[in-house]
Amino acid sequence: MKCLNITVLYNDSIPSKIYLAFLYKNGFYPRKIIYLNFKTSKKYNITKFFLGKRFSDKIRESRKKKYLDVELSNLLLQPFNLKYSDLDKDIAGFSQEYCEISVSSLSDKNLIDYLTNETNKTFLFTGGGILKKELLSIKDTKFIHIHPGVVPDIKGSDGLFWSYLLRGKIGYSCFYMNEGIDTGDILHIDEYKLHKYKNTKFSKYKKQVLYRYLLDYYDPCFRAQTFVNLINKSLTNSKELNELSYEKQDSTVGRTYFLMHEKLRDIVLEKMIKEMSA
Amino acid sequence: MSFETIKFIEKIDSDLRKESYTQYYTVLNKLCKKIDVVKVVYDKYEDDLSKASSTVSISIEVYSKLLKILLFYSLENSDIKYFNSALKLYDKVQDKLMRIEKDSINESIEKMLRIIL
Repeated sequence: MKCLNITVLYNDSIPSKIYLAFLYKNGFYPRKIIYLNFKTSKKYNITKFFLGKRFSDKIRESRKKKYLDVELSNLLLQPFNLKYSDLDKDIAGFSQEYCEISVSSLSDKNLIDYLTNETNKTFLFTGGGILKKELLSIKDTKFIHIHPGVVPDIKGSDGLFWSYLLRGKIGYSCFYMNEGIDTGDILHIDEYKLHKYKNTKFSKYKKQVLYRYLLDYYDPCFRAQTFVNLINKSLTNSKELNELSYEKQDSTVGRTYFLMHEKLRDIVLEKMIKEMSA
Repeated sequence: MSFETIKFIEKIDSDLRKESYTQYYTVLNKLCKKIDVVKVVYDKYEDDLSKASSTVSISIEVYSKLLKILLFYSLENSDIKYFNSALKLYDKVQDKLMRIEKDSINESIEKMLRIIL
């Protein structure tokens, strides 16, 4: 196992878990994981007050699992050598060092103060959202993000589906985040074909369900794969992740896409299912 | 100086040709963002369209013109991003449109969907 000189900013989500599990499967682990514990709902806090944190977390987890289709998630994880059970492991075990910070948002002062004092200045941002100036301007700090879409052509939301519709394959860009939407300096780009599944009837799933699962399971695996490709590139060049050469991105070039309308999305899903079931 | 949405839409509407696509591309892209993200198009913006400088949204007639413009360029220039915004705009205004307008818009939408398929 190789320890990476990087700190993972982890939030309690399937994509975040996939990053860590996939890195582990490929023989890597981050030096540190910072669990961003976003302040929770009133309902959760009341349960926590009466029943304690451990029991409240269990209730929350079991509610999440109630609606989970393990068969579909395993199907989408399988080409990447992952199983749903791999994501159920204790996150702290994926790293040398682990800590938890309670934050209200990504611009929380607590988070800014904490990261300012970190010695390791390269972070992998595994969540969604835009990082604010206060966070991005912490001295010598770099945030790596993997976006679904070849930038600058495809920036913004629903990148997995826009990529497939516009380029016939799915693209991923690895860059250092800046204040713009997916306009950071480019470290690495990959494009992939969809996997072929034999004897699998994706058509039995509702489109809305497939959309959710592709975003929650399939897309993060490609992101993690792209990150591993970047790591391998850094190892080949004997460079740290914050020393790699990058390509400046012109923010005025390319296009920013937004959430796909349901009608369009259904057509794209139809096309994807057809290719994956071939 | 501020950007006047109605004037701009009237101008494109009177110059609706396949070739005028590039001329209005940048501004139309910014208006698409208003449809997609803010879900309202106001009648006045700051010059670079970064901020609305009015709280009055454009009328249903102007929305309808904007919708037709987006559908025209979607079809003529195979612009799926414009088409995506047009679909969202149609959801917003369809109840308020005349039957005859709806028929023609539906026809364009179906045509574009067939092309994408």
